[in-house]
Amino acid sequence: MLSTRPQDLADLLTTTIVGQRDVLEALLLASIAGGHLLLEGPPGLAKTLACRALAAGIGGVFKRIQFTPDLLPSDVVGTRIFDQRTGEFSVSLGPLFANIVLADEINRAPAKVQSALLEAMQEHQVTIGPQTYALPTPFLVMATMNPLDADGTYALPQAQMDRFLMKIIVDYPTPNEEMLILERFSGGEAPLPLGTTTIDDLSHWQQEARAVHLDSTLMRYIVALVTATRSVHPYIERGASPRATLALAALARAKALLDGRAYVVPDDIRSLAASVLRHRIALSYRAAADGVSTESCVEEVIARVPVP
Amino acid sequence: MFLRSLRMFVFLAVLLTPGLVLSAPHLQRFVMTTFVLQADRQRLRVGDHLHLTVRVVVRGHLRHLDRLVWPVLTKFSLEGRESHRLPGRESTAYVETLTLRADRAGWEFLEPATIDAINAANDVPSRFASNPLQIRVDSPSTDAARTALPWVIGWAVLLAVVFAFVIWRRVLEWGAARLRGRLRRAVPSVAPTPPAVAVVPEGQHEPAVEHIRTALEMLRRSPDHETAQLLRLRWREAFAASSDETLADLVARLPDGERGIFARALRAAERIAFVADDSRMTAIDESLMLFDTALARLAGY
Repeated sequence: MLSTRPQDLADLLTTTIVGQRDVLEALLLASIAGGHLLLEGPPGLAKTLACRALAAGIGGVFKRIQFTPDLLPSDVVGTRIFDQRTGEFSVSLGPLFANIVLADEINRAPAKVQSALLEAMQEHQVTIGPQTYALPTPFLVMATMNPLDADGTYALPQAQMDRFLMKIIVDYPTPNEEMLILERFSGGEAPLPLGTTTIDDLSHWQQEARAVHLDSTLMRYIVALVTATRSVHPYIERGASPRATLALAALARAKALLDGRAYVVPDDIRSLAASVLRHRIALSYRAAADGVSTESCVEEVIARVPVP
Repeated sequence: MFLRSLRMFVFLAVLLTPGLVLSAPHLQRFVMTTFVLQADRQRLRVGDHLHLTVRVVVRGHLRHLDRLVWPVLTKFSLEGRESHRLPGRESTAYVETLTLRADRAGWEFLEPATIDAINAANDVPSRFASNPLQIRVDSPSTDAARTALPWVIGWAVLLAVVFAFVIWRRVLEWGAARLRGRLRRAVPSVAPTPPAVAVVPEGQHEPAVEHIRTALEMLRRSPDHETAQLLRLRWREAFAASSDETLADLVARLPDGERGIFARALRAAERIAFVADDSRMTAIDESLMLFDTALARLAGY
């Protein structure tokens, strides 16, 4: 069955993934907005399955990269291999050349590997030897971070975190959802929504999203939200950059499209603000000393800005 | 004579220069913990008054606060200024309030107030900024006595809508009773169901209905972005929406029995306010009857 509306794909993904509506919606929104997604949560919460389901749903290629401390940049982007028989170099493209890439536990790899991935995310191309290779379109990276094991991790620099459109905190399913998981998947692998949509549909949605109307009042609301993170605050040392403004606008447009509207409403912006801002602000030492979390700071800042 | 004047000039220059240098403006040094810009109201009419307050709290004791720069005001005139210094045990608070009079209609987007000082936490000269604010100034209400005819027509339309709605409800009830075969049995009169929760805060019902009605009239006369935004704000005010409440929050608060009609009206108000300009007329045309019906329901409370 061919689907032409984003909501149809969202509904079909729920046949594979139980619960985790936030993750599924974030995946779709990031795809439509043309950006990348950062997930934080314990293992075993269907993050990989969600990516595979989305890739299958749009008929795209999915690749998973497990980040480890001994990973090299060439393991991610590819390398040139010398063929002794022919005496020539051939290029072996890395797992980054896929439509949807799951970068698992990105904070386990050293800075060199993180930079290689993040540069590819920004430029949509990689250079191997003398040649530059364009990454496929669409190209979505979903990076995960495990909050539980801090040993042997390399914290992602703030400037690099800024490249992700949004950050979603993944939590455990409810008991009812877990019952449903048991009933549905205890017998075997989860079915993937094959042939539901095409990559052309996704490109079309991306164009439609760019054309969604964003009223000037709401543009001011977005700017007010982001600049509120830069005003004097006892717990926030550095606020969000203008990238957050652009990200929030793009995601709000994608949300409006997902809801079947040609215009953005304040609810779209408000519902996405936390996921856009939480990984872009730096807390002060006083916040750490007082045990204040990023989440509570972001919520307080968002509540302070009046909804138009 | 000339030499004497020259010597006097040089003497005075040497005497006064250190004083001038020492009296040059310098930055204060403190740790700021609070810097908030607030207004006692965020919506008013031309001619009304507003109190705009800056509240600053710094650590330690400071005798006075320099270099507070207020945002530029284009729709207000200054009628008064008050400032207070409130020393605490380990901090000092400054509260400065401007009394303003609204002179022109429109949106006033206030940039953050700023203070230039040296941040004692890191010894870096900094520009501290408060939060921004938005204030809406409405045009003075139209003089109802100017023309009686539009007023009469408006009331007539409203009464006609209410009457049609009552007739429609009666027809439905009659049809249901006929289907159940209870025509011969007297239908006991049922007391009207009181609203489960007050939709509009007590004491504000009539003004809320009147404000929506006025905004609807303005929208019909001049269907544009501003009147659409005004109508949306009036609908939100009618349900006492707070400044951090989204449409979803508002709809969730509505009484169960009334959620349908009012939620649709609120969504329609969002649509006409935020849709693209070339789609606004269609959105308004499609929503007017819904607004009339919802307003009639609201007026019935």
